[in-house]
Amino acid sequence: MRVADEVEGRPLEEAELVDRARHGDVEAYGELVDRYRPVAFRAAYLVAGNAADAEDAAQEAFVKAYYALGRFRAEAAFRPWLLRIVTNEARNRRRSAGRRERLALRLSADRRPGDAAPSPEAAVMDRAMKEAILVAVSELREIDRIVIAYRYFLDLSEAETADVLGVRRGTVKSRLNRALARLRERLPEGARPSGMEAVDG
Amino acid sequence: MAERVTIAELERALAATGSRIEVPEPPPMGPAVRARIRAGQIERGTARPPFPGLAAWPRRRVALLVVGALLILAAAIGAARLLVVGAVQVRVVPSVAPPAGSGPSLGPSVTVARAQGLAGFAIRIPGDLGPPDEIHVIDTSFARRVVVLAWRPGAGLPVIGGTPWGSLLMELPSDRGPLAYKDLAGQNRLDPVQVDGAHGSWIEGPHDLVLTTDSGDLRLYVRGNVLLWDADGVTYRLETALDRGRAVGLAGSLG
Repeated sequence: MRVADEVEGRPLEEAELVDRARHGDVEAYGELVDRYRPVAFRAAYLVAGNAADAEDAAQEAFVKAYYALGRFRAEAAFRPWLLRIVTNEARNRRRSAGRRERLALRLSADRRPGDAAPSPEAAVMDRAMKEAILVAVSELREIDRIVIAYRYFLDLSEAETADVLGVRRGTVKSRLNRALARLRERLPEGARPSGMEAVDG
Repeated sequence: MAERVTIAELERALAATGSRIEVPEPPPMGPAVRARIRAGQIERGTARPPFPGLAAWPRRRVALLVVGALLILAAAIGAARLLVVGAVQVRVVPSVAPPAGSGPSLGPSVTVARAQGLAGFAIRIPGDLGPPDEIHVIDTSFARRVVVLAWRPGAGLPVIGGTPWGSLLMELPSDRGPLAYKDLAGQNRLDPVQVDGAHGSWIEGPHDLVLTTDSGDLRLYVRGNVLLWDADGVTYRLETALDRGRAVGLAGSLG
């Protein structure tokens, strides 16, 4: 049964779902699981690098998060709190499996609706650049890879990234700067996304 | 001359790349998560997650299942990773063996005050053991620190075989999920135990303790028996050559 507001028929607010879950309402918690399953799985996939570990990590994180709800501050945002647990699970899973090989992140084949159609040459160049970026990101050390992946591939704000990683916002900023510099060093000279002009050093 | 991509270009390219990464469709999880939580509630005899502040929950309780139920449930869902005591998760592995060398260093010993400043949580010392002979602080993942207090053997405190120590107490912050794993194999015994009103576990036999750090796993071979429990956001891991009853007594003297 889907949990819904019985009076107006609208979905319950996150805070209410969390409050119900804290009081043992497993259906309310299931609603939170359904809402955050995509972002939790995507985060786990970006860290663990394969679907099986990502699924295990996300599911384990949801169970642990339920039992940790007593320590969740009601005024805090649920998403970064959950993603912190997801991240720990995915990192630990990758480590416990002894995986040291670089992640095999790939580009999808299709373009999104509304994208401008580039010339065939520009499309090839653009894809090659993005593939080079993915390879370079995958080869970064874990701490650099996670901060870049969460900021740009998961589209978290700096504040959210800080919450997820359990560090200050300034630390995220400095880690990100260092990670971007290392990433840039890994990209071949002359590699540049199509249609972009140099605007800084 | 070929120029390197700028940081601003790189950031834009990363954002554009992120939307194109091929991520598999997330599988359904709600039913499995609900089922696991309900299974846990049956074992715990309650419908609620730990909720500090309620009269029914004088201490933060841990997600502890007795080992028999653990193995049955783990087999049912295909994962033997269910037993969690605060910041420590117990895993079942095929075997554990002592390290070839002397094992990793824990770094220099520091004072109680220094350790307290670094830890970020209140360090507690068992009154029955008195001031520790050494204190080490270990950096673990996501800027969390673990404190290790060590006492040399003495009257009433037998040496832990293969170590110079009579007792080791590790304190781990448990407010943000697992920091460490205990890898147990068939030769280990694991029993649920009550420590000062909190659920805990008593582990007999050598096993591995794995701390997760930003630079990789720190694997420590544990030679003594271990009492593991969680209280007020800190997980305690007492290693000793004492028997279970005396170890629980020591734990009860935590100041």
